[in-house]
Amino acid sequence: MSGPLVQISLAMVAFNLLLTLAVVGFRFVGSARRTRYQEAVDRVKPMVLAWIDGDDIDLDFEGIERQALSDLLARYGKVIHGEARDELAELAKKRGITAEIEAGLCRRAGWRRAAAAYRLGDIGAEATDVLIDALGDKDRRVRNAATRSLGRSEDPAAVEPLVLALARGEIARAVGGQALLDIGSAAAPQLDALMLSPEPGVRAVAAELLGRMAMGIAPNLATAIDDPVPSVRVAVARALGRLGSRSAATVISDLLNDPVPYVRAAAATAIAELGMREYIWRLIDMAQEDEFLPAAAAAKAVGMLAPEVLVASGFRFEASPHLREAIDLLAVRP
Amino acid sequence: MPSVGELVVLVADDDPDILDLITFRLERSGMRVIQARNGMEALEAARLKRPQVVVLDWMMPELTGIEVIEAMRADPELAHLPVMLLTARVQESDVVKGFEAGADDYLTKPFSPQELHHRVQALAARRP
Repeated sequence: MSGPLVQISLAMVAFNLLLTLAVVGFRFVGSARRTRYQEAVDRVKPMVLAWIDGDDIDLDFEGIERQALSDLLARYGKVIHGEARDELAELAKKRGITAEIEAGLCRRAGWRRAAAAYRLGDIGAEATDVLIDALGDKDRRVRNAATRSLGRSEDPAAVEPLVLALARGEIARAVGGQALLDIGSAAAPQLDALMLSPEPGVRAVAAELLGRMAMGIAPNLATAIDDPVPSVRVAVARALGRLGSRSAATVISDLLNDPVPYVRAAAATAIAELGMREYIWRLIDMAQEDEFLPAAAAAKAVGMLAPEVLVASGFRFEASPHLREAIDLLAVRP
Repeated sequence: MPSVGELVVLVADDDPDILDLITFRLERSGMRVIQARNGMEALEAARLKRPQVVVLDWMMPELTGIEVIEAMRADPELAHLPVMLLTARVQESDVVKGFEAGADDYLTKPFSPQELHHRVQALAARRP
């Protein structure tokens, strides 16, 4: 073998050796750090549990134990509520842990910003303003994490920004809806006020959420039945149907004559949900004569209200396919 | 009323942090806690270790809390055990489903360990 080839081979062997040593070194350092961290968690955990249980313990740590404390406060804060959680948030603030987490919202990596947004909610931090700012983050993961944490904050100040973000499709519907439901009854007055928003998307989202809150019919919800935008009227009909108040009956029945087919369909379903049997014959007429979507919805509504009437009507010679299909659906309904 | 010192409580949840919190609180008040991390473990522990009160998470691997309750209610040896469901499901229909399955009490997550402790005591007091 010639000299240069031997030198190249030796260089490659040396390079491989160095690489192997580096990998082993990194793994060793990582493993040692994980072990030290776990030991710190094991030391700090009993103190944190006792502190949550009401013991007067000074939880003031440095270095890796401080990191363990921060992680444990977030982990336990996520699953508890009441006074203990409020005190936990206060401790995190006093120890500067909340400020450190908030600083994480400025990190370059999206996943780090999302983790910080989640952690602020877990720890119960009073961080509504920074979380509302995070709703404008370019990374969807961060926006969704901030949404979830705003819901956990139960701060009514978050209602309007959350509804706007939902209406603009900036956050996942399920996450945003759940966050607003988590805020609870405190959100209802603001949602009702948003029924007067100039943005139809905001009005539709507000109506849908008011329907899911089971707080009774909000004043602006019932009047929005005349909204000029069909998607809002649909959301209002669905909301009134979910709220189950028969006082909304007249308002909803007016929507059976709406010029837009999918509004009439939503009204038919709402009438069934309200149990308004007095509209059965009107619904049967719809199922016979209306356009496809409202006719199908009306036939199903008859099945929900009075299966025996549906069967009697559907077996007539001149019965529409929608009535016949609704009878078939009755057979598979749980 | 049974002595709290003798009370054996089975706690089943797949979240170790919740197990930590509940175990710490209950053991501090003199109860003995048996932990289970899934529904199957919970059912086996209920059969083998004979707890006096059971706290079950609803959503668990292997068997759900509801399935564990149904299995317990079908077993004459375990049918009488008071069971509390601990769950993030807060819809009225879920609560009804929990009670229909045979749960005696229901606590939603996030929860207060102190409240859970008092409810476990109340369940223990109602034992036949």
